[in-house]
Amino acid sequence: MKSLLIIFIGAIVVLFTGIKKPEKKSIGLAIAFLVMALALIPFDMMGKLPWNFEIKYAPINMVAFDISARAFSGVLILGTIFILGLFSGSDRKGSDLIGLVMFSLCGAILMTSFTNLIMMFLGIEALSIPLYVLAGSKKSDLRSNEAAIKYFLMGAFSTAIFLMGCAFLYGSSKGFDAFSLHDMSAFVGHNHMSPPLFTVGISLVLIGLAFKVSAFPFHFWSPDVYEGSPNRTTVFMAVIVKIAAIAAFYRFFPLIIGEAQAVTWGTILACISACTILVGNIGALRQKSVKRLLAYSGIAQAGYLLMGILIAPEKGFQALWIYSLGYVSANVIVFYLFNKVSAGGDETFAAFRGLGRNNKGAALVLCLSMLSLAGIPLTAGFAGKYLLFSSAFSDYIYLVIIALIGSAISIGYYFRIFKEAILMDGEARVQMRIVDILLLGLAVTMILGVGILPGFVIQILQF
Amino acid sequence: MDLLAAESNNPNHEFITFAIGMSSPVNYLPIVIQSAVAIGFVALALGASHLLGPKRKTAQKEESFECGIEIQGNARYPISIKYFLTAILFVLFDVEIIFFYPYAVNFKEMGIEGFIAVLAFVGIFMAGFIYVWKKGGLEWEK
Repeated sequence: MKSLLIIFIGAIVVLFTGIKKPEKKSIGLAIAFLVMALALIPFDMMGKLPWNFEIKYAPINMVAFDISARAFSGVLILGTIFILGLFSGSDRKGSDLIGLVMFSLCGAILMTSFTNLIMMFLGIEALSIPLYVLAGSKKSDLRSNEAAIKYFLMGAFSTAIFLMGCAFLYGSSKGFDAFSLHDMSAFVGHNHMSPPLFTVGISLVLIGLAFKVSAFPFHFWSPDVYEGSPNRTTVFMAVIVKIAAIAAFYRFFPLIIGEAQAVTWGTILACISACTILVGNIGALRQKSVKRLLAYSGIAQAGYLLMGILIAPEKGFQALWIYSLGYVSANVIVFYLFNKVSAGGDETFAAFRGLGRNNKGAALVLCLSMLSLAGIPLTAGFAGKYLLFSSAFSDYIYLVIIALIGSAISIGYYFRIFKEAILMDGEARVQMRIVDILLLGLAVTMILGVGILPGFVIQILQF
Repeated sequence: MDLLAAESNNPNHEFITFAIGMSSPVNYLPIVIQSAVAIGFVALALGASHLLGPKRKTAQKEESFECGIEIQGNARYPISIKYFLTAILFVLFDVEIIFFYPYAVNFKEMGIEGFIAVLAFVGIFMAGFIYVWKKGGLEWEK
């Protein structure tokens, strides 16, 4: 709660620095607030895991900053620091845009910590509405406008579907809070029945969430929107929105699915996850634009992340957290380097050509993050995938096999960027500031640290 | 209905009856009947007046706005963005007022805690208003 308040106040302060003309650079201020919020996370309200219903949340208590909420909001805040720090020179230096990013982060944190469907809905809205504006923040660029209107229309529809689901759940369980939902799912499971309103409600809410994580039947928007949006917004959507939606999914799913129904809904979710992995990986193979490729890679990663929701909550939480750490740092590095090399306007693979010759360090970092995304050992991506696959192996063996096939396919397109950067000759060049080098160093440390010592990193969660 | 008997000493009895009642589609029959009656009445009334009523068409009667004054121009032309800005600002303050009515009714019951909550609400609101003002959102001619 403290870190959420700090971010909210910080967003307002950053917004107000834009009043003076000429506009000052407010990124430093924003990052200072975010670092403060990150430092406050361990001191946030203590609580137990969300599936542990011994603690009775008062009905008025709409959020609970338990261990999973704090862990995921830590990743989200860290990701936003990376994004604001590394992409400071890319877009228009409007403090209003930075304020919107921070407001959006507030929504993301609510999505990790809700104990009430209303709060979850408000979180999704607070996350999405600034993003509709940010997607169109390159006002004169036609593609940016197209991305904004597409994202807005699709997002509005998915929100409407989600809200309809909430209404059905309210109708059947007589409440929006975690308790009535959990009671209802336990009751339904106990008596072996499937009340239509409850089932329809669950499906509609899952559709709304699947849209936000861009899971299989609802993934069509993401390549178009990622391609058109300004780079900073794209990486925000790829990283923050996806992790926040997965955290919400993770919090919502065990709450609503009683033990008796776990098999049915688990199978449905496993099918969605398998299709998402296949569609994402196969779709990425034929892309020419790097941003579209990263969008499809993000769809595939969403499929892997969905596996974490199927497995037992404690294990799933650790696996998802480790995976999201690797996902955030690797994606931020790739987008940063792509942003630098594509400054001339070339957004295909060719933009990376010659990076290995001109900037050895940058090429090395790029390769490391590609290895992490593909899930090669000693990187964070491998640690996350190992935890996910090994916990899902006993119950969903076919899903793990599909996921392994998907990972094998993914090496094909990740290494294509690799090849362009190392073997081809070209003009790609990256000039880094000191801040960039520091942040990239932190991201690389995260990839390697989580990859080499995942057990030690999981220990951090015990605090 | 064995479930009902088994669970009748459960404190959650009312909830369970409700939930079981929920699961039967027969309970929705009245809604279907009512919608059928409503749609049937509208269709009947419109159809009857269309078939039975006299028809005398003239050119003036067929116009979209028949008010004695000649129509000028098209309704669909671009409007200055300033109007939208003003409209959105109006909606903001409208929402604020809507929240004030229930607060005024419950002013005494909500006590000092409610007062602080409303102050925070208005404070955030005023921050937004000052932002719009300083950014030049209220300057009409620029």
